[in-house]
Amino acid sequence: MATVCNRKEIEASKDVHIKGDNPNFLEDAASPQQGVWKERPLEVGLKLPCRWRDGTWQEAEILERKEDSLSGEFLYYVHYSGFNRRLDEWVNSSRIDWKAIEEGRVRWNKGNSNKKKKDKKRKSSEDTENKKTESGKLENITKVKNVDRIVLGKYIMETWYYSPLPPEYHNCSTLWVCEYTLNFLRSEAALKRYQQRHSIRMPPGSEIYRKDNISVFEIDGAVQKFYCQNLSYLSKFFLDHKTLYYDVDPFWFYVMCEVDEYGCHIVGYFSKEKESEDNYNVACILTFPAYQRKGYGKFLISFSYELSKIEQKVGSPEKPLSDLGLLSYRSYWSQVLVDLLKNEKQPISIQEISERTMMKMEDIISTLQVLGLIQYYEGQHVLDLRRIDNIKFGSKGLLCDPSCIKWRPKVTTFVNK
Amino acid sequence: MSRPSFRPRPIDLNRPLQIIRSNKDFPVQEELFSTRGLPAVETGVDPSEQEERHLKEALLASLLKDDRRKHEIEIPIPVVQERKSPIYESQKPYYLPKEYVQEVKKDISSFLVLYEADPIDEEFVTQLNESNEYQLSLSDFEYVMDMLERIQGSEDDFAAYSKMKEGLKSLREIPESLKEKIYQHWFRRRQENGQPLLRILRKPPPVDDPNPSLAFRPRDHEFGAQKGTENTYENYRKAVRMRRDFEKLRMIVEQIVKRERLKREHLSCSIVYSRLVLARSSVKMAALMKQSCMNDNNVLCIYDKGTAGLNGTNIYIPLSGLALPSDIRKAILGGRFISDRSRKSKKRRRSEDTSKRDEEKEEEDRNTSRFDEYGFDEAGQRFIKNMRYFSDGFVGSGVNPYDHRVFEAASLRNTVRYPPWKPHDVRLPDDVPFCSPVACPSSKSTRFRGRLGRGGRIIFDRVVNISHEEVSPLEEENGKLLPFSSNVVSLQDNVTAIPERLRSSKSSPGLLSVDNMWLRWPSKKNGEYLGNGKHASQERERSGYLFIPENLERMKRESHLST
Repeated sequence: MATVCNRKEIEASKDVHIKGDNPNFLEDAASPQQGVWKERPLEVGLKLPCRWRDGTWQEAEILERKEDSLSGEFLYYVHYSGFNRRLDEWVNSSRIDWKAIEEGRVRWNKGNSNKKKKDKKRKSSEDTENKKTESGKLENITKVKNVDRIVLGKYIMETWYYSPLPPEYHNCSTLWVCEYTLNFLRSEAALKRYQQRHSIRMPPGSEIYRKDNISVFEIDGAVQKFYCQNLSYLSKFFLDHKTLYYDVDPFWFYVMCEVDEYGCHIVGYFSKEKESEDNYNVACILTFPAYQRKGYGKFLISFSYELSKIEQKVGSPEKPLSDLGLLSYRSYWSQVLVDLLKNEKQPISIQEISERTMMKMEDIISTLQVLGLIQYYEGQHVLDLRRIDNIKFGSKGLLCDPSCIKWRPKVTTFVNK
Repeated sequence: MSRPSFRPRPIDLNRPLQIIRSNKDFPVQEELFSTRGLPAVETGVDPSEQEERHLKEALLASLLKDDRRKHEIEIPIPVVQERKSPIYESQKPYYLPKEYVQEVKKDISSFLVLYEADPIDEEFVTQLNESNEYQLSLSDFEYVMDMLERIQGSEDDFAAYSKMKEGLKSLREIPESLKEKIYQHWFRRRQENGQPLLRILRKPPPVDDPNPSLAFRPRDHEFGAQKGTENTYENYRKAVRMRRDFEKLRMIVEQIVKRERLKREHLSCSIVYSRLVLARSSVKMAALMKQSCMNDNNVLCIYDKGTAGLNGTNIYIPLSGLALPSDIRKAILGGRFISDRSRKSKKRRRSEDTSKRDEEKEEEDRNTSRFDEYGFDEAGQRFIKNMRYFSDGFVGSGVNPYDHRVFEAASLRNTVRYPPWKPHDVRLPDDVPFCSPVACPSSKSTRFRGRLGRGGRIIFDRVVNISHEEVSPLEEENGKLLPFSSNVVSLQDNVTAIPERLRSSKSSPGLLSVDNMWLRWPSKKNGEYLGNGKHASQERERSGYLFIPENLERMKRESHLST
C-alpha cells in the first residue's frame, strides 16, 4: 500500500535531512520533487521492480544495502521474487525502477516473521547436517553472498550462495583458488607464489576410474582434511542447502577431473557418507558452473549408482535436492527405467527393478508416475508402456563405463573412545 | 468412468507388474486408468524452492511430450567467464602414470606452505627491505611465517625463541637479524589475532555454537561406533555371522597351509630322488655330491651295494634346505629307535661322516621344532604315542590323557622295553580260527606281529603281504616276486622298492639297485591301502624309517623272514 511505504520511506530518509518526527506522514510527504527519491537510501525489506539481465522488470526484494566508499552511491542486494537465490545480486540505483517508487507500486516484506517461518520449514526438511540456529539475525548473514566470484583454473565463476569462510576472508570479493590443492587465496600474486612452491597436479586420493581424459579420485575426509574442507567451502558457494556444520571426517569425496598435459582439473564431485543411516548414496553432488552442460552431472549420478551396485546397497541422494539436482536426477532415473523396461518381456516387480538398478523404490515409483508409466487398472497396478517411445529425454550425458572402475567397498572400523 | 470414491490399494512392491505394450493387451477405455492409486509425487526439493518459476517451467517442459519446444528450458545461472591470459604456460607438462594412482597417505597440508601475506605483512616486508641489504622476497617471508606457525602449533603458551631458532636453522640465506625481526612480527600478529594464523591449526568451533558463519564442528560421537557396538539383537546376529565367516576363513587358510606344505614336501622328495639318480650316474657325480655334503649338517647316507663298477659305496646326499615330510625326516635323520641307540653307543658308527646324527638330531629338533595342536614337540609327540596306550583308560574317569602327572604315573608303571612298532613276526598255526586266509588271499603264509597293548596285553596284528599288482616293476624285472610286508625288511639282494614319494616318475628299473630298504608308504592319495585295509596312519606310525646298513644286518638276523 502506498501509504505504508511512504511512511517507512520517509522514516528511512531521516538519514537524509528531513526534520520532524511526525507520525502523520501524509502531510509531510506531500509530493516530493522529481529526483529527490533517487538520493534516498532504500530500506531493507522493500519489494520493488528491478531490471533483470534480459531487460525486463522483475519484482525484487532488498535484502541488504551498503554504501560504496568511493562514489557514495548505495548498492542494494536484491532477491528476485520467484527466482532462485543464486540469482540474487548487488545492483546500483540505475537498475531500480524509481518511477515505481514514486507511483507507489511497491510492497513490503512483512517483517522478519516470514523469514523465520521459511527457515523453520527448511530446517525440518533438512537432514543430519542441520543448522541449529535460533536467532534469525545470524541467519540473515547467510542470505547475502560474501564472496562475489572465484577464479578456478582458467574460469572465473560468480558465486551463487554464501559460504562460511574464516574471518580473514570477510572482506574479500574475489577468491583465487589453486585447482590442484583447492587452497583459496585473496590475490592473484599470492596464488602465483603459492603455486610456484608446490608441484601437486592431482587430487590427493586414489584413482578409481579412468577413461579417455576423465578420472575420478576417491578421497577420505578423515585423512585429507585440508583438501576436503577446502572443497566443502568451495562447493558451498554453489549449493544452497549444504551445511558445513559438522566436519568432513565421516565422508568420502569422489572428485571428477578432466586430465590434460598440465594436470587433473577438477570439474565436479560428490560426497558420500561412510555409514549412512538412511541409505543415502550421495550426500552433496556438484558440477562447477564452468563445466556444466557437458554431461558431467549425469556422469556423477550414474557413477554413484555404479558404486551402489558394487556395494549391493540400494541408494538415493540426500534430500533436499536443489532444482538443478532434481532435474538431473529425474532425467537419469527416467533414462534408466525406460532402458530397463523397454527390454522387459516378463512382468516385473518394483522390488526387482530396485535390485537391478540399486535405485530406491520410492524414486522408482515417483519417476514412473511422473512419466505416466504406472497406472491402476482393475484392482492392480500395471506398467503402461504404450507411449514409452514418445518420452522426451534430455541428453544422455557422459556415459560411465563400469569396467573402468577399480573400487572395493571398504569396511569401516571404528575406534571406541 | 472413474468413480469419485475410488480408493485403490497401495502398490505392492514385490508383486510383478503387468506390462502393457499395446492396446491389444488391455482392450479397455482409457478412462478406467487412474493414477490416484499412487501417493503424490515427492520431488525431494525444498518446498520454497519448488515454487520457483524457472524450476516449474523446466519441469513442465520436461513432461511435455510434444516437440514444439526444440530447445530445453534452462534454469538461468550466474555468469561464467573464461580467462584469456595463459595461465598454464609456466607449468611443466605432467602425465598420469599408467596404473591408477594410489592415494596419498598423509594430509597434503603438511607439505604445503599455507601462510598468505596480507597488506600488513606486505608493508612490513617492504620496510624491512628498505633498511636491510638482504632483500627478502614475499615468498620467503611467507615460508618463514608458515614455519613459525607450525612450530608453535595450536598451543597457547608460546614456545621459546630458542626453539624457533632451531626450526629456522634450515633457512641459511636469511640473516639472523631478519629472522628475529620476522619472529617478532609474527609474535605480535599472533597475539593480536588470539588464535593461530593458519586455518588448519585453529581449534574447531564448539559443537553447540549455532552461529552459521562457523564451519566444521567436530562430531560428538564417533559416527557409527555407537550403532555398531550397542547391545541389540541386530548386532548380535551380525557378530554371529562374522564369527561364522571367520571360522570358514580359518579353515580355508588351514587347508591352504596344509596344501602348500605338502607341495613343498613333495618337491623335496623329488629333489632327493633326482640327487640320488645324479649321484648314481657316475663316480665323479658321487664325489661331487659327497663334497657338497661337507658343509651340511643333514646328510642322507645310502649304501649302494652294487652295480657293475661300484662296489659297496656310500652315497651321500645333502639334505639341508629341503623340507622333507616329517616322517621321512625322522627316519633319515635318526628315527626314534635308531637315534636313541646311536646316541648311547658310538661304536655303532661305521664311518665318521655317516650322517652326523647327534648334531643332526639336535639340529632337527631345533630346526624342526614343530609343535602340534596341543603344544607338544617331536619328542613329546613320540612320548605321547607311547603313553597313549596306558593313559587312554583314564579318560573315562575324566582325567585328561595328556596330563603330565598321568604320564609320569603311567611311565613308572609300564616301561616300554620294546617300542610297539618293532615288529616281531610270529607264525601261528593255520588252524587257529581267526587267522583265516580270506583277508589275505595271496599270501603263502599269514604273518603276525605281536605288540604290547594296553595294560600289558599282547596283541597279534595280522601282517599281510602285498598283492601282486602292487609289485614294483623292479621286482618283476628280476623275475622274482617278492612278497614283502609293509614293515619288514626284504633282504633280497639287489632289489628294493622305492616308496612312491621318492619316485617322481616311473624310473627305469635297471638304474637302481640300492640295497637299503625304503619302506613302502601307504599313500592315501593314490588310493592305496596296504592290502588289509589298515588305517594309513596306523601304518605310518609304525613304519617309516630308513634302515641304516648296520641295522640291516641286525634285522636280517632277527627277523624270521625268508622268501
